[in-house]
Amino acid sequence: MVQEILRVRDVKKYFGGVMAVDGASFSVEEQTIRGLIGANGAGKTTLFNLITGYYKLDSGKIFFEGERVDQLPTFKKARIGMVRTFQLTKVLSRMTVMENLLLGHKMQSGEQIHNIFFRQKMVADEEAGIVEKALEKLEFFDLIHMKDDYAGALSGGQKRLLEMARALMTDPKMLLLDEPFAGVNPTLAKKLVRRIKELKDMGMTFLIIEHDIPLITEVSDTLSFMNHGRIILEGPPEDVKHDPRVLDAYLGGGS
Amino acid sequence: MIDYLVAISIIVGIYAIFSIGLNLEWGFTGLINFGHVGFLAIGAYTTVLMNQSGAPLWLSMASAVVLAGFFGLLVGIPTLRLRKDYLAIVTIGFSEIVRLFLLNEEWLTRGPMGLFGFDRPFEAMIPFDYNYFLFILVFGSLAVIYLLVEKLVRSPWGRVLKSIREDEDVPAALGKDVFLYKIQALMIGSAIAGLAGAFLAFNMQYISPRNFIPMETFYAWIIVVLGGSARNKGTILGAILVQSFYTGTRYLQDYVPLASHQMGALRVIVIGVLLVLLMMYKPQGLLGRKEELTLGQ
Repeated sequence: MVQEILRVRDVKKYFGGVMAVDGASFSVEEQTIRGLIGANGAGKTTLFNLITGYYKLDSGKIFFEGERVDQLPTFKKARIGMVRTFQLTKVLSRMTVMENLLLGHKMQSGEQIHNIFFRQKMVADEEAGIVEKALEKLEFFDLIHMKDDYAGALSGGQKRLLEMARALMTDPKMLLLDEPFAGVNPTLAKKLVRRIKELKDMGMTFLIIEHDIPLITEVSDTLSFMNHGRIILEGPPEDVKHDPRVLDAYLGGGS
Repeated sequence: MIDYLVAISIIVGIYAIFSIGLNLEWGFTGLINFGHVGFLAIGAYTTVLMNQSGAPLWLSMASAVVLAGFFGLLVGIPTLRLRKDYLAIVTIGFSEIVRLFLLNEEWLTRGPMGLFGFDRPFEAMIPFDYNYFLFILVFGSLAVIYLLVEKLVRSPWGRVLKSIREDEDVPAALGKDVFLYKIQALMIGSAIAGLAGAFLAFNMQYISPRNFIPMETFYAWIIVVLGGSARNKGTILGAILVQSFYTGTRYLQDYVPLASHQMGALRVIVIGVLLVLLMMYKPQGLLGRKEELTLGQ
């Protein structure tokens, strides 16, 4: 049976008088890859920010695994398994690649001061486990040779990989990727598509904003098309891709 | 001569402790605290006032540390959810409120007259020059504070602080309660300043609001930036250099045809020029890591 993991209902967001998201509704099923496309300014990133708690919604509801989550702050959403990456990559420049990853693991005992002094063994053992896990992720994303470099020294594409690896360190149920292929060279992008599909097979759910139509068609199970702050079309990628409204938005038909 | 070196070293030690508190806030967490001296004042006055009203010294000092930390919490709660620059504004206002309170609430603090006549740790039991003992006490405390803070910043907790300094959206996206960590950093930094305040009172044996002008905060900033932000060793080196500069220029007084207030102004000018040169030629600070500066965000 297909289980719904994320449900967005009639979500609205205004900036001043401008309606950025105008009653968007959609659902994502567990262990699927959902692509979200639309012209610049259609409201995709705003919708992302609303789902992940960076913005507060003006109206509407968001459910994650059946629970209403629209009032939760970002960090709590991350804790329940909803983790995002950023359109403009945000790596922690003056920390090493390894440190970036280690940060990702959730609820570490060493993040509480009393444990650092009174449960040193526990913290050290846990840290060793986290390092192990980080090495696996670095291996998976071909970043292992960079592990001791400052994250700020990575290339644009590597920063995207680092961000995804770091997000995976939280053991998320659902990953929200904002333009994961932007600035990534074609070979790496192909590889990234494979990685995403592998992760899906391991049980992960994805919501991906992307402008690269061939890539997003290849990676998604379902494609949603957003226009003027609403999801106006949803379906198998090949169908959505050829819909006149989509062609219009991308080929500059105007509206 | 030895006595003199000991006296100077005590001041170095006190400023080093004070500045390590700021380094935790700024160097590691990226918090802009322009009112650090306020917590120094709270530490000094709490120690003295409690002791004068009959509390044992250890309790007075412990209260000073706790109260300074508590004020860190009070200042942090309304400001740390806001953008970075708000903290800078609020903290500088806070430290001036503290100073003006001490200046005006004469029933409690004797205002500009200041406070004197209070115990110092084990003073009656020390058969030799008390300054030697204070020297040991200050540097023992500095060592302990240094080790504790180093332990903290190298832990997963310190990793979260650094990630907040780099970009607080990231730890939030990964499930960290950013606000909580910023509050903790500010409280610990303030408590450390409170401890430095207690030692300041012991060293001077007299405290008045004049000791707690905003300039003191900026000496701590100079020390941290000079030594290299996020390097506690650098902070200690910075304290040594800044204090040596001050003492050195006091000797020069005899050799230059300047009145003492002119000399004071000249010192500040020279410090300013040195900082500009530092920023031009070694912007990471003396012990900072150069690579960190060349990285784009």
